[in-house]
Amino acid sequence: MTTKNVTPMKPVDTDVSKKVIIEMKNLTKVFSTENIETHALRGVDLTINNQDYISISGPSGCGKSTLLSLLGLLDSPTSGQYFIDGLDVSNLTINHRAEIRNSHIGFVFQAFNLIDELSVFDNVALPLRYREPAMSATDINNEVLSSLEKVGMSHRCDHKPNQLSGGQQQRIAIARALVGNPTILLVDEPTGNLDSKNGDAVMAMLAKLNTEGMTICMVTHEPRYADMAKRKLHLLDGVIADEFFSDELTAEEAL
Amino acid sequence: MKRFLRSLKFELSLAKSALLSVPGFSATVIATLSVTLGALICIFSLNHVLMVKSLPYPNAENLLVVQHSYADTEGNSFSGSQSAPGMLLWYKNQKVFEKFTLVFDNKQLVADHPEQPNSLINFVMPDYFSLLKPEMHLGRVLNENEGLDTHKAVVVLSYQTWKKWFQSDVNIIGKKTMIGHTSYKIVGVTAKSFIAPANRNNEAPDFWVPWDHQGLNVNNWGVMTRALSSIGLLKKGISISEATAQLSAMLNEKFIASSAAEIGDSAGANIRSLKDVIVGDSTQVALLLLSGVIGLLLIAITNVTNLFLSRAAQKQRTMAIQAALGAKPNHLFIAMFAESLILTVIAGVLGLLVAGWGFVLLGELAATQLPRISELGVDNVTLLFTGGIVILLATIFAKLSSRVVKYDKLQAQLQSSGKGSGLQVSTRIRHILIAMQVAFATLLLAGASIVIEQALETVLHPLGFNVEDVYYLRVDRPKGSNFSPESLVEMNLLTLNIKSELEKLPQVINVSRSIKPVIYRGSNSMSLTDRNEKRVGSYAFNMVDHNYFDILELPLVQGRTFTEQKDPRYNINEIILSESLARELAPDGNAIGKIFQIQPTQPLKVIGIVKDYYRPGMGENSGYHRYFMPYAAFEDFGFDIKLAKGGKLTRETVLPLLLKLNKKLRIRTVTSHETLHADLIYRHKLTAGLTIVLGLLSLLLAAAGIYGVLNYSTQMRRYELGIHLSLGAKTYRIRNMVMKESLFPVMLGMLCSAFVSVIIFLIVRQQVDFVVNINIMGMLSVAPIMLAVAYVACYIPIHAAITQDPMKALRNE
Repeated sequence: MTTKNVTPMKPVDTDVSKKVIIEMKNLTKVFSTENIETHALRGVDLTINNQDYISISGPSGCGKSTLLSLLGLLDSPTSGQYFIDGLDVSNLTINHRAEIRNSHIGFVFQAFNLIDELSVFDNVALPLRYREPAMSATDINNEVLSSLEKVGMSHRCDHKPNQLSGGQQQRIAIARALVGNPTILLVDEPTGNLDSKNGDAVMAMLAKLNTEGMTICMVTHEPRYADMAKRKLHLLDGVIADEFFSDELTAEEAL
Repeated sequence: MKRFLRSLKFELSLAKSALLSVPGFSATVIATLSVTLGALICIFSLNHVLMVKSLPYPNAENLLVVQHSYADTEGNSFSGSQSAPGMLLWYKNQKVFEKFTLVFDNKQLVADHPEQPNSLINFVMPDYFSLLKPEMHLGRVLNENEGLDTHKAVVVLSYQTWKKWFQSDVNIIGKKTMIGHTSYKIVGVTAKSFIAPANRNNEAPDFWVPWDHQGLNVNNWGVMTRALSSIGLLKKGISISEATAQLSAMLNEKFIASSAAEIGDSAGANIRSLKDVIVGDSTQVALLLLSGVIGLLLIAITNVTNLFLSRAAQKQRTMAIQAALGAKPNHLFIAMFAESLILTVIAGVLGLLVAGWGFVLLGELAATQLPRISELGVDNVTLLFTGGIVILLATIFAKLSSRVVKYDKLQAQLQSSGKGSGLQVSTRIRHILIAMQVAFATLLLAGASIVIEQALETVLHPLGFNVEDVYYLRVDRPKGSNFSPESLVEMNLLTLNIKSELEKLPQVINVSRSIKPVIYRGSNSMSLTDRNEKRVGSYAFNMVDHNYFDILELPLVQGRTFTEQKDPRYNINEIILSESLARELAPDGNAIGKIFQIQPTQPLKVIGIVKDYYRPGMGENSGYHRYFMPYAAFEDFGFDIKLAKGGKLTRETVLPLLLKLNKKLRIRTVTSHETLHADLIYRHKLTAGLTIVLGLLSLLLAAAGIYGVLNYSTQMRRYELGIHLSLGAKTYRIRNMVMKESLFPVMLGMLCSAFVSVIIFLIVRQQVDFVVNINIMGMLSVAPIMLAVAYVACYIPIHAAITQDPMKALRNE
């Protein structure tokens, strides 16, 4: 494994496999109350290429979650620029941001965030229901089943989330994140609510997805899992303090 | 729209599962709304039927009623009472109506029926049926050969009468029935669906017979009755004003030439739509009820809004997930709309069931008080209204819920570390909700207090006479009797004999004769003139014998009662005045001995002054101006009978006595005065009862709403309260602190309602016909009730929160 200090932004690679899909320029986020301003991010520059596998780590309060929220268009930056596939998404309307979240971003959360009232199938189908123009029922059916196949959960279509184990729920969450063929998978502490066996299985699945071409950006506290990423970002006090590039490893090797 | 419906379809399935997981919330919303919507739908239907819906007849909007109107030189005028010669004049000579019928309604006994039911008969012309075009269940309607002066004794039965009194006999056509003293051949039975125009007491006719059998005095212009009316359809090209002018001229010419008119009197035609005549002033009651249920609905909406706001706060995690997956704000609105729609639709369906029950209840309780009650039912308009209100409410709840959900803050719910604070309904919104609930409930209660006070004023008003153990017997005059002097003497003798027979009954203590009951619906008035034949006014009167005041325990304050008349030859030369009338006619207090007249040749000497008594339900005419004359059998025979304590008088007891005297005598009514009184105050008791129920429901809803909001608010503050407790704060200090904060919006709501009440009062006071006496003290009495209820609703959740171990609150157990 090789390491280096904060690297300058790399020029956009002309190789299709290394196409820049996310670019953040001097992004800041300030939370203000009546008397206090908290600078969660202080000028982050970040480029994510196609098929990257990035892990973000750092101590509590360093801005990991804030960065992930900004990456996922769940929150707006205070200043700076943010591009997804070359489109400036820093100042889009709420509806436009929702469309981009729906079509470009897949989320996997620590707490799975499945909707208990819905079946596994309907949970996975949820992003497709918000698609515009509307997808046909057949297309939704095919996409959902295909996505569930990928995570090995197609036999649990009719179950409710609370009938599944934590590991199974996280696999369903991954299937839901994948179902819309997103540009990037944003993964927030994916093993935080799992035991080590299930955690390992989920991480192996993410590594496999990356090897199949999926771009992944993951927040994690676990150094062991952070090491599985090709790029490791270390956040401190709202800035990227260090960036490490690991050698190519297979999931099995990393574990 | 297509996209909206597609999203809605999906969200409905999601909402269904979500609502099943919160049964308490769903049940509370459905229960609150279904009861309120049921009341609203029921009262809306009533208002629709009374004010908007056409009568169920062809050309309903063009059907008109023509009545007489009279005026004298002193500017007095009245309308609504018609003379038979005047109406016949129009019938025979009018040229403005394409179709025209006279209608006289009168109650008669079905004499050959074992139970002798007292039935409402409509005496009509054949045009009655061509105007209203009833469908027939059996047989036919009256035909052109059964019109004026044909004297055909045929009868058409209503479906209800056929079913109730003729055992649904399918072979009834051609059979005969004895109504009153006439035997009629049954020629038809109307269809079940036919709703005939009701009379002024909202009673539907049981039989229709040709006009010729009405038995009215068709020559005397001075005999007028409200039971006589007409229905017509104008010819094309004739306007109402043209018709009025022609009919007025025709009537006036004959009337002023008649002996009934004094110099300067005039008569005219008053044309109104049939619908207006039937509906009358009942729209005021309907609007009053509507304003009450709208107030109730506002309280319910405030309650349910609070529940939905709490639900929105609860649902934010789900919404945050949806937003993260690409759901736009409108998707989240549709999600909330789906939930509220499911609940309001269920409440709407249940509301329709409640309304259906309400229609039955109204039919049972108010059929004789409100017109067109039989037309109430779930029809297309009701369904459309219900659908509209259901969608409107669902939209309101979804809109208000979506306003508290901050779409751009939802991501906080998804923070892996659990730092999301969980958005809450703000203090400001909670205060607004409480203030609104209190304001609506206080306003409604204040309004209810006015209605209840007025109704109870009538119900509890002392009558001024005794009704206990006093019965009233009314006997039809025998067939063949008339009003000639000879016949009157004969009838007087008969009444004396009946009186004598009644006195022999063991339970009877005393009997008096009178031509009208002491209290009844309607009025019977006649003009009095002074010695110079100058009219002094028209007043209610009765003709009674010497026992009358004793039996009713109506005290004489001056003079004496009538002397006993053992001789059937009547002599009407004395008069007894009520206190109020005596004061009016003799302001100097010396009424005794004065002479008044009802006819130029009939002087009446005032021999006594009797205490005023109260006639319930007569409004401003409750009746203190009245006079009494000695009894003569000018109408059907009436007897006031004092019984021994707890005694009863029945038809079966009395009929043999009557038949012993005259085989043609028929009993019209045997009833206690208590029943007569109960009938008169029934509408007011009903109003008071319904208003009390409405008021209690408002209080209950408001209390539940305030409790709901404060319970939620207290739950949100449990952690804070736990800290206070753990630091050693005494419970009373915390209670006082929180109660002070909680009661602030309560006081605000009460101030708002006081402000709105004053504005309404000032606006309404400007109305010329404003007759409601507002008792400010009565209205103010609502304030402590509301405050007490609100205090309890505030106290319960706070008490529960601060009487537990502080650690439970800190651990959020």
